[in-house]
Amino acid sequence: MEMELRSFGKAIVHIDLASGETHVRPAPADWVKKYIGARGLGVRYALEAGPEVDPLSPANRLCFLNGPLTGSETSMSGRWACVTKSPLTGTVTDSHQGGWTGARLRWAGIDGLVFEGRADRPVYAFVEDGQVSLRDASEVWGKGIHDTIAFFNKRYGDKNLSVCAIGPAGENLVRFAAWVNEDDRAFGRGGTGAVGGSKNLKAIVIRAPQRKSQVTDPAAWKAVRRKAVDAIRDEKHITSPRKGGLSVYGTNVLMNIVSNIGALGTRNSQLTSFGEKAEQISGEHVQQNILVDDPTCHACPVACKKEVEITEGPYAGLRMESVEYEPAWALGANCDNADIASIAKMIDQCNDLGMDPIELGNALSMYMEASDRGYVQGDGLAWGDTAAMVSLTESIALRKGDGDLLAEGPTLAAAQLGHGELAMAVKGQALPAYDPRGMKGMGLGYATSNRGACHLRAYVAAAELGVVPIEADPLEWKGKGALVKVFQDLHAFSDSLDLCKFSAFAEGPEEYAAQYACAIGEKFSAEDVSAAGERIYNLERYYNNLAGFREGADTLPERFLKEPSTLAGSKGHVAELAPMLEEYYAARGWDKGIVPESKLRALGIL
Amino acid sequence: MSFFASLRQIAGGRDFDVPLPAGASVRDLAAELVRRWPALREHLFTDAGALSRRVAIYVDGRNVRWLPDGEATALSERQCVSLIPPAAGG
Repeated sequence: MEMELRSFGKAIVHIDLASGETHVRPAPADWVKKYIGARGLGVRYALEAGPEVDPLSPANRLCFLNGPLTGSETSMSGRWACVTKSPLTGTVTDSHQGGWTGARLRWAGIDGLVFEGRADRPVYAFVEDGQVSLRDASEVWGKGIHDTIAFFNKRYGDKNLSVCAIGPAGENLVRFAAWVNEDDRAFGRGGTGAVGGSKNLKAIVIRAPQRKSQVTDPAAWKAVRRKAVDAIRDEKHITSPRKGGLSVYGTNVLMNIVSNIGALGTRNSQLTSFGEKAEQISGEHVQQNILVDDPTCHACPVACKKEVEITEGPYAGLRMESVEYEPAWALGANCDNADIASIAKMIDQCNDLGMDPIELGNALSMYMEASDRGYVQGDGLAWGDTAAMVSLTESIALRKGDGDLLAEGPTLAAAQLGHGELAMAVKGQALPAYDPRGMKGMGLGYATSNRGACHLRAYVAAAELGVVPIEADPLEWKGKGALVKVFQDLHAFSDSLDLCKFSAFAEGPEEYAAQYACAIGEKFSAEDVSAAGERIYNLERYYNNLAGFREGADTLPERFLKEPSTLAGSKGHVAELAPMLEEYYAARGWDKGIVPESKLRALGIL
Repeated sequence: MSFFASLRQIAGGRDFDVPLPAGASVRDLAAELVRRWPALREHLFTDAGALSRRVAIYVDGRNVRWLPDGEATALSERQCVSLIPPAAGG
């Protein structure tokens, strides 16, 4: 049986966890037209629930949505989105996951799952043949994600089965808990796992065989996909299979490079380079010493995931994926930890316990600096104490001892220690692996991100590292306002399709528009891509404005504004946020971070 | 001189001393690198002989593309030069 791509949005299943009732209600056609799918459509569903909702209350909606291309033959289309109000930030948040789970939901005949309410006991959602049923999860409540997946594989057989689950961190309402599928792909940021825990929802189990797409013009569909995959495979792009840096070394190819230019936050971003120690946790080191496989996602020729095996030391025998740049930085340089084996161990703990390693690394580094400065009663945590880091990681997920404090995330934990200035975060979400003093466009992207500090809302790094046609000096602030808007709008659209962010290294609005137009059988231009992306970004901002994020919310920690970099290429630089924000708001047509009503009407949001 | 990612496979290692005459520029360095490692030519130069934008040359952590003198930037004895292929993502 084939799946008709143009019918996307008609099979949205609403699940009331309190009553156990499920209803299929098509998304309003107007919403699909304006907000496309996945991220955009999810934010619209979240808005309907009310921006003032308590994120951990039954009234918060937890939306799992495909995009119109998810599960199709389009390259890099194995993505789906989780959208909800974040318990970490209080903003609307969306997070995206690779692997096969999103695709399998589509193959099961469903475009999205919208959960509301709270079950009176642990449950999981079983999805098959367009139907969703809630089943008892008491046998897996309390289990790690690896064991949970093994349990369901045994119960249902692993053929054509995908499992997405929370771990103990989600059950214990850790504010940066994640959903993880297939053992290692996560809805990482924003604490969506805690929302699952608050609803007593342990897992989503989907059984469906692969299905082919049905479109109105198969020849055109084949041609536009061929053009896109040719671009991805082109040796001039970093996505080129087995030749491009992303394919050979994975995302961690960046570790040495970003340290070299002085944009690698080190010791809770007190420094901007990890110096010689960066090599020990780099992609080159991983590739030469511990790499054993290059797994991939649905319909992706790049295979950026890096599976490793540890053969020596306390973590010998550990085989896991994937050692990515972001967690390797957060748990490595930012914690003054140059031991790659311990980093792999903690990433695997995050995959099993269900936590965001970026937030975890920042919580640990904040606690290390607080300990170093004498702000912590008791022993605290020493820089680079790997055994203590591994132990504390588990304590955080279980909310035991010091872990209970850090389970609140670095922002709230630092505030409770009386030193909020030690939290390297924006809107309550911790910074990723590009220091705003060494990559100023990334800094502006963090400040203006609608889900808190995030590298994926505006991956200006592509321009600042010179891998896309638009190139920009990372240390120049002028022009970054307009540039950040371009990236934000483009990513808002690709996250709504939902294609992997890395597609943007080889594709652009023309390729996105052509594939989407063929899928829905209607005209859609590159200009429409920009317009839809802008609309989605403004919709999120509107949500946040209503949720209380007003003037002053778009900022960076003082450290980046007042403490100049002392190392590497960025030496002497701070982030010139004020003039960049002025440029940015002018490009957006916003009034100090607030979307005017006239803008909302012009974009069709009101 | 430091090499990163796939360029290490060509150079056969990470760090090398590359002697240059006094007053040599970044472009002179690129030519010397090709003389020493001919396989670097396709990465460093276009068919027309201009420095390629495919590989970035960093001097003390700054991409020479953004320095006032660009590829004509004069090198001095204690500077660290890095050769970096296109890389991003993460």
